Amino acid sequence: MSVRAVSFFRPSPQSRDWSNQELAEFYRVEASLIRGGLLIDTDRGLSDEGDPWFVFCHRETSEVIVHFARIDGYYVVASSAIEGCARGRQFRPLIENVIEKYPITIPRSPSGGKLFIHPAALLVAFVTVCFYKLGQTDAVAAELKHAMPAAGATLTPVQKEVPGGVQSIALDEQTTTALLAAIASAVWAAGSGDTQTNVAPIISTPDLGALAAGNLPSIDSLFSSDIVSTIHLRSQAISDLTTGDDASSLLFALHSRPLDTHSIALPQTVAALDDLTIALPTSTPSTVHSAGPGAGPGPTLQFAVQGAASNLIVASTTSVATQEVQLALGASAQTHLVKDLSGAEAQLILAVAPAQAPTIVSSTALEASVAHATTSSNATQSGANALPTSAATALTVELNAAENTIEQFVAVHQDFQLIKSSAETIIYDSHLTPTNMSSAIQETFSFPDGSSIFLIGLPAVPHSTPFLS
Amino acid sequence: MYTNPQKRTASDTLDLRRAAGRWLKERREACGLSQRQLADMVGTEYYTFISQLETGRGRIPPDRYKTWAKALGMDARDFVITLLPFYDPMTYEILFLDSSEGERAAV
Repeated sequence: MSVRAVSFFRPSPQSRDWSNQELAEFYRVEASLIRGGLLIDTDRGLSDEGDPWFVFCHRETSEVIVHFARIDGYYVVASSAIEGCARGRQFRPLIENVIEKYPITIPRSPSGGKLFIHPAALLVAFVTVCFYKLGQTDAVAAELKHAMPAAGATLTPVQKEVPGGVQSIALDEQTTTALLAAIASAVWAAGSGDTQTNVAPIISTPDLGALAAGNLPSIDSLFSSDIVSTIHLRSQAISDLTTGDDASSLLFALHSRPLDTHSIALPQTVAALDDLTIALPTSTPSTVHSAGPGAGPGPTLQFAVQGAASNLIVASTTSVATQEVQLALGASAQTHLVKDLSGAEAQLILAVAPAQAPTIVSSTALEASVAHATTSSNATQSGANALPTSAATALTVELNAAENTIEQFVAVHQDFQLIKSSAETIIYDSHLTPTNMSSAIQETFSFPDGSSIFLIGLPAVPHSTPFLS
Repeated sequence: MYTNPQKRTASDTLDLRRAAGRWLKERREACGLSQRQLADMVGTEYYTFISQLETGRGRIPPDRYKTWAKALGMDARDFVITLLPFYDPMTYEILFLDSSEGERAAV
């Protein structure tokens, strides 16, 4: 009789499983994708050495779309969609690098626009693109070292070659709509975790105006086709970006640099974006996208359109374009701001500056600036939290002064949020609530092109040090 | 890019893939290979792919069958015939279940 000795003290492989935070991020992405109408499933496991992996799969075909792993301390991303395997010490930069290698192209529409992607939605965007790129193929988790794409393979969405050898992924309108819906859901989910203020981040699509005319040549030059424009995730310094004097360019620069927020810059607004609306259940009745298994608690999203997210384009193309993602939020600071500021208080924006651009007209509540300001007879107020009319003053400042002020605001309120309403952009302190609004300080920059940036936030501590200089 | 629609329910497909994964794991362990060692032998850049396959997620690309068969110490034809009912049951049924065992052996 043969005897095989088995040691009970053999050390088992040390598990290096995903952290709860990492898993939460993956499941947030899954929930967002499901809300966006994608047939997504996930699975995870540990290797025999204890290294964790996580896959996003097509729910119907069970094929793997993206494989994430952490091997020997390095994060790994692999997908047939990107035809390669990327590694990095840090997860987010890794995703950024992958996306930058594969810019996304989306349909062009007549109106200009720009979409900012909250960092929370970056992974959603990546998985969505992989999902659609592999949509009509087997998403085989390829052995990438020797794998070659089959000749003549038809990909939907279209894959395009752009100068510099970079391949982009072109999305059709329906796909774009689903992508945006998923992104919106992700951003919402990220914001809903803030129990103190219940403020959700905003996806905004400022009217680019002059920006679309050539301030992003690197974007425009990527494609000569009239059919597509390019979404390109980037985070560059202000000097590398736009030099325009309108609100959009300033906002773009602002949003791209200090917070390392990644923007999708597209010369033209997506038609599918026009009617994408997120509302609380109490608003317009519509299709409810139930949360997936990883959704967790949080508000239910309703897309105020007919049909599923994948059909958004049908509704959007037949209705009036609104140029931006409209967010009708519930009882939160945002609601308060949207309600109070998007309408009547826009009148606080004073007269347009004289012709000598770059010049900005600013209104401010600070008494200190009164001595250098001229009171505007056009200044009006409305709403319980509006500034007293007598306090609204106007002065002309240079563009860089506005930039400095906004940067200072952002530095003080590092978790600021954005709202875009028509030509007005609101940057506000996410800690604002209806109860503390009365102590808020606000300032508006009005630009020659009619656009404006409205800042509102709580004074920096101590109260004698406002965020406005 | 390879396409291989099977027109089965997701549950059926997943069950088959899991069965394939179990078989692959048994075969790998019988060969005395770790997942990392097998990954190196078949040229996979990320060895967690082996774990993923053994869990029943994804499949071995057909253009890698020969490499995998060699790594697992099998004849390529036997390897494919073993995997076929898991990965491509429709093809397997046409080739084998509609014919006699003798015909199957001849194949």
